[in-house]
Amino acid sequence: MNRAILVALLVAVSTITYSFLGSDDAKADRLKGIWQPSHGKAKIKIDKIGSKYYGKIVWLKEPIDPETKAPKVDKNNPDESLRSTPLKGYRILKDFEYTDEDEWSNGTIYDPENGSTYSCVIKMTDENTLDIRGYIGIKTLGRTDVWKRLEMPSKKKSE
Amino acid sequence: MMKFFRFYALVFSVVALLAACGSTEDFDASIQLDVSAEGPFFSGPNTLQAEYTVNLKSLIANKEFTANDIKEVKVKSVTIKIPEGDAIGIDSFNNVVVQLASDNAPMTNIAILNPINGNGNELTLTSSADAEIEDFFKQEKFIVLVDWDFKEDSMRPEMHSNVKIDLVFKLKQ
Repeated sequence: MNRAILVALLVAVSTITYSFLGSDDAKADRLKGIWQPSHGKAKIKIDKIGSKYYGKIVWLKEPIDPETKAPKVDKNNPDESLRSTPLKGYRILKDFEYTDEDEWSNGTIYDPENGSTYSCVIKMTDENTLDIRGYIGIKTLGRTDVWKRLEMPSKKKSE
Repeated sequence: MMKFFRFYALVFSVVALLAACGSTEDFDASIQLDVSAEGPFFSGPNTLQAEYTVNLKSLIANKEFTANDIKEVKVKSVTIKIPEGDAIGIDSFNNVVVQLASDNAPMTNIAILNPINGNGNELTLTSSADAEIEDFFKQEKFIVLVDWDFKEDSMRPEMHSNVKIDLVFKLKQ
């Protein structure tokens, strides 16, 4: 009888601790949502595919290329065969993993304006703000942009 | 004289060894799978996806090989088919993009068609000339993603497409 009480107590304590701290998946999934870079020219939707996070362009302030009068495409892609890829829908953030408290790394960010891909680390400074740091080689030699969440997390919506 | 002979024997052996190490042979292979997503679908890009389980034994007919034998894998062609009888046709989309993703390899764009012209239910895309996708075949599984760019909102509950990817495997001999 005492043993059963002890087991029940242990289960209860673990459940309370788990729900208090939150699971790693739930913490990692806070990255999901729609975000706007500081330049305001695009909106990026971050989703999870498999176990990693990817961000695609879902809105462009200027969706039409003034030269071609057609929707913008990835005309600077180093792979010539892919230069007709539309920018709307393009995944510019790729392969991010939740690696540390409030941090997603091992991913890349693509700049369609020059066709370059940079290593990137994402730091969530608060629930609605991301520091996106792109760099080549070492993190200190990079540039950070601040992105703002455009959609509140679903948890907050229900509150 | 013996020294001279030994020297040339050694040079010949090294050259033969290097030639053997570097030689490869090309094999055609293809994978085919159904990708799907639940609706509704809003105008703009919507992602259909499916997990592909890698089985090297069945990829190339009469050729047994392991992941270590793979030197390079390139995309030859990509074809997408909407199932017969589906009310939606390829004229419902502006463009389509196919990508591969996995836990252990960086996401790779392998094919694109933009714009989509004509109608019917089958498309052959423009394949990436540069995509190197061997890392996807050196693991147990990967994900195939198809981004259909819908011209208009569609309230359908789900959508399926069949993707066929023709590949060229460069295997070490």
